[in-house]
Amino acid sequence: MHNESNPVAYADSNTGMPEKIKKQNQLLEVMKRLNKNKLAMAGMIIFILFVVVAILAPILTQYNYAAMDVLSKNQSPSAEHWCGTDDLGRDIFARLLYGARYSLALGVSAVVIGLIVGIILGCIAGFFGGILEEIIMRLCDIMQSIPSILLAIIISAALGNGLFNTIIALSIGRIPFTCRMVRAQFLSQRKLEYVEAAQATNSSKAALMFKQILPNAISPIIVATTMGIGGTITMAAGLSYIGLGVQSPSPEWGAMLSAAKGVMRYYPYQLLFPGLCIAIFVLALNLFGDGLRDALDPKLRN
Amino acid sequence: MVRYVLKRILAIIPVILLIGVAIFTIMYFCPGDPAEIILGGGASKSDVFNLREKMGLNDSYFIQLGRFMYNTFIRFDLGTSYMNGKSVLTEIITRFPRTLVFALSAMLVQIIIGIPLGVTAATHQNGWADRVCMLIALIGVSVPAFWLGLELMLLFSVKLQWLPAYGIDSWKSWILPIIVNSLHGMAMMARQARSSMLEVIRSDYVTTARARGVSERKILYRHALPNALIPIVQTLGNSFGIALGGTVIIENVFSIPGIGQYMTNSITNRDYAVIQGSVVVLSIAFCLVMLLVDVAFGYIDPRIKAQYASKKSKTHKVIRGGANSHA
Repeated sequence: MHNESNPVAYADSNTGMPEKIKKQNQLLEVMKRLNKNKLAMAGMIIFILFVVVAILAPILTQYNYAAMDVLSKNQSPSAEHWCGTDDLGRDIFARLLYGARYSLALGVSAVVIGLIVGIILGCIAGFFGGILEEIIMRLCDIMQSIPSILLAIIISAALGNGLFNTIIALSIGRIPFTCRMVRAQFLSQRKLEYVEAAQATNSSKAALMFKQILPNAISPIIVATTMGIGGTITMAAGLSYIGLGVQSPSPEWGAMLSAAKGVMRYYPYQLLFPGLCIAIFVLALNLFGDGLRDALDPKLRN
Repeated sequence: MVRYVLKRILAIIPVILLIGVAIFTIMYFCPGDPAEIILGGGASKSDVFNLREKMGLNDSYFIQLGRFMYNTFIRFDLGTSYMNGKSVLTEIITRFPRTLVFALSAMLVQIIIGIPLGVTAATHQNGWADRVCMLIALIGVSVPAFWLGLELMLLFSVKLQWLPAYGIDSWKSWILPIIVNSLHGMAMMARQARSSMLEVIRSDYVTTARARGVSERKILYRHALPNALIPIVQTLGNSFGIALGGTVIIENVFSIPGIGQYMTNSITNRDYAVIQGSVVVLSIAFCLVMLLVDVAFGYIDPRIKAQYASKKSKTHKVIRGGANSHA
């Protein structure tokens, strides 16, 4: 999460090319480079697979994730229950499928909310400077002086459990991080010639901020966002594990791990599957994020 | 240099105070009534009101904030746990050394493994060693540490019975928790070390050294590494933060009686005073370590040294790399 790449300044961002053509070329170029990176493509495919699974969960399994069956509890994986059943007789495979929805919802929405607020604050700080910047940045300092998991724990404890509350708790920790990065990008872009040119043609401040500078500053932000989703999913699972966040009967992977801990000596598979799901999902996102960074920043490759 | 150190110390005081304000504000504006929780669901309205009055919860935000700040920072009183009526601070003081040692040793492991991993990757760029090192790092950031901890506990404590599964009775009990807690930061550090090493290797003075015929080994350890370490030292505070944050959940996994376990045990009971007090103490510890890193960095980085040095002229090594992210 803390490995944001160096600011990327495209050499062609201030050539006279019409904006549309330039954008298409860039996108095509990035896609081509990404396509060559096998690990990144594998990450992307796994990620898409998880998304599809999350959407199609009801079709992929005949079991209800919350349906208890006392007669068949703690069963080992079999043809009937692919990943076995838990201590309440619920089908673990079904719970894993539905659990993908929670992880996806938590990871993506928390990061996106953090991103939007962070971009707005970062743009304001980086563009206007002065007292506004000072206030925003000092607030970020304070927020970042609290380790992010502690911040998530305290907000989550205060707000109470539940999907929506957890999203809020996780997104607040993302704001200062994005804000700082956007501001750094703005500072490095603000003095470039294309900004001066746009100023000379009398563009409005908002247009300058969001139409001119932001697109040029966006690539490290995209990379950090992709990587951030993975980190946030792990953190969400950690929150559920210690009894915050999303709790049973919701099939959140971290909550499943927490339940499995008590019986792990006797039924280790109950611990194995949810953990593997988190690890593979997050690994896929990180592989994709890594590839995306290399593709967006040719400087890093040799 | 004394001026630099003093400036840093003075700058940390308002930060610590504002952390207190921030944590209090979060707790204040969030729903959930401590009085109702203490009395349980069946309590009458007047009982709740009386307890709120007694706890000072009926006062305005500013009065409560003032009381909280006065209690925390002047009387060093973090309140009492409603579960057992004991002072939160006493409990934290007995637990704090364990958490600190735990976090610091995890940080040490991060450094000892992470940096060589990253440097090896950078010096063998695009070779198989690079791939292996970076794959390890990637797995390190992706696998949830607490899950890995549980799986390792199953393997080494339950199946093989080599290591104890919980507690802190012998040094052996610390092995698994420290490994697990260092994983995430180790991976981060390896990635950071690789990228800063790569940047340094490509710089002009390394090329010059090569052209002069300096041995590759000497270039690596005498020229490149010291400069590549600068951005890494800068992130040491962060790696402590990762290790400290990690203790919260890992202590719960391995039943280590530290602050993290104290806090997670209180979560189910919604013992707000404990959660709030623990977060305040851990955040202050984090700030103080950040301060130490900053001060140490001032002694290492010639640029800061030069800025604050007396007029005696000194020669400086040429340094590259981003030390301008201080804002």
